[in-house]
Amino acid sequence: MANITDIKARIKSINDTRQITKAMELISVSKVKRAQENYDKNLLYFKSLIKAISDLLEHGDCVDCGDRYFKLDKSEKTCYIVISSDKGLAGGYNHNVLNLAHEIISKDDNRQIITFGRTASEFFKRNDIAVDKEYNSIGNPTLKHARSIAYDICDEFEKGNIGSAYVIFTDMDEGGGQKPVCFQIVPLDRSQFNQSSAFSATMIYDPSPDEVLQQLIPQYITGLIFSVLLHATVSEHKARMVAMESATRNADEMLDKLRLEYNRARQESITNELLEIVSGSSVGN
Amino acid sequence: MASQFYLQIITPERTFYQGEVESVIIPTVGGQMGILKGNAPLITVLQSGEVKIKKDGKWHYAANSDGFAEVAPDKVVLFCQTIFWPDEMEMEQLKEKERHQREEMEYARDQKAYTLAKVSLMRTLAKLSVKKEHPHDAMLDD
Repeated sequence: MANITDIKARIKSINDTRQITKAMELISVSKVKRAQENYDKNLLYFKSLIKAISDLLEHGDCVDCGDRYFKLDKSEKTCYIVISSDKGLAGGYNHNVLNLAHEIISKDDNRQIITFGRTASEFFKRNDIAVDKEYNSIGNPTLKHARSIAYDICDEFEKGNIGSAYVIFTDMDEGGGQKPVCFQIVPLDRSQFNQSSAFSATMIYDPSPDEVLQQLIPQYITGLIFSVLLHATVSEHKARMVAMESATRNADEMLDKLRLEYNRARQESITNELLEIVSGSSVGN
Repeated sequence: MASQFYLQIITPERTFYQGEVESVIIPTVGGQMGILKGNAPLITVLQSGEVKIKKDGKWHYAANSDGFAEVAPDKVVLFCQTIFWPDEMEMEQLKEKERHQREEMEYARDQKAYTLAKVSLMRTLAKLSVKKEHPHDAMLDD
């Protein structure tokens, strides 16, 4: 019977797909772990950096040093950095973050756009939105990427070409879920730097507080972007893990149904054959 | 034995070293700076160069890139983008990298490419000089 072979072929193909989704799920699990580790390591560095800048702002003997990094200039352009993944098959991951980006960006005409990940640049191309710079096919984000983006931002900001910069990426909330967020990079927010330590009242800054701050702020921005990239990577792998998990579950359900159908069809064909034999033999008698 | 203080070296990717040491010499923008126990609280900016660590009377060397240092009387924390022991680096690879970065710098199309290439080259040169002088210095245990 054709029916049985059809079902058999379907079972086989679903089984193959299930194997792939299962493998992708397992890969994502280990990638989530690795990305999370990287993120934690970076966090230590990043927190110390924030503390050092806090100390400097509070105790460093200069009133207005670094002020230009904290001032918002409305008249200038806004730079948006949109972070998506290179690959799809991660559930709503790309869709959610790109929708938020589109919503924000379409309200603002005076803008620059930097995309990170292939899906983001393709998305803007499709919607006829000009992209100023794209970073594609990255794999795992490294410090080098972060440094390059940070350099762009600091440079443009210092020259006055942009008045502010935002990064749009997928953050994790406490419940382990994900939500796309828009975060301001420059101008810096003074309230971020309120963690100064106790002994720093007599801190010496070599060569001068202003100079030290000038070195620290680009490093801070690099660290910030790196941690954002790592966060986005963790979210991506997590999203893919969840998507693949549910795909595997779906495949299992389908397989159960198909196996039932297959067995029923097989039983039916056996019954039919038996009926034929029995009726044939009774005619013979 | 000389009095010791706690040294911690952190990069965004790992904690490079932590433990008690006798002295550390760091490359700052103003030149080499030697630190012993009881230094006045200080924050300074690091350049690509060589970090020298004295522990149990022996000097150890590592190649660092830009960052900053936080000095307190009994604790020193170095933050750098990258830092390596000599035995973590390959001479041939470094030479190849140097060649590549020199080319990149020469053919840089704009200021950004030039600056980034130059910074990378500085980093590689610092690594090369450390590797040349102390080819087999290995990881320092706590």
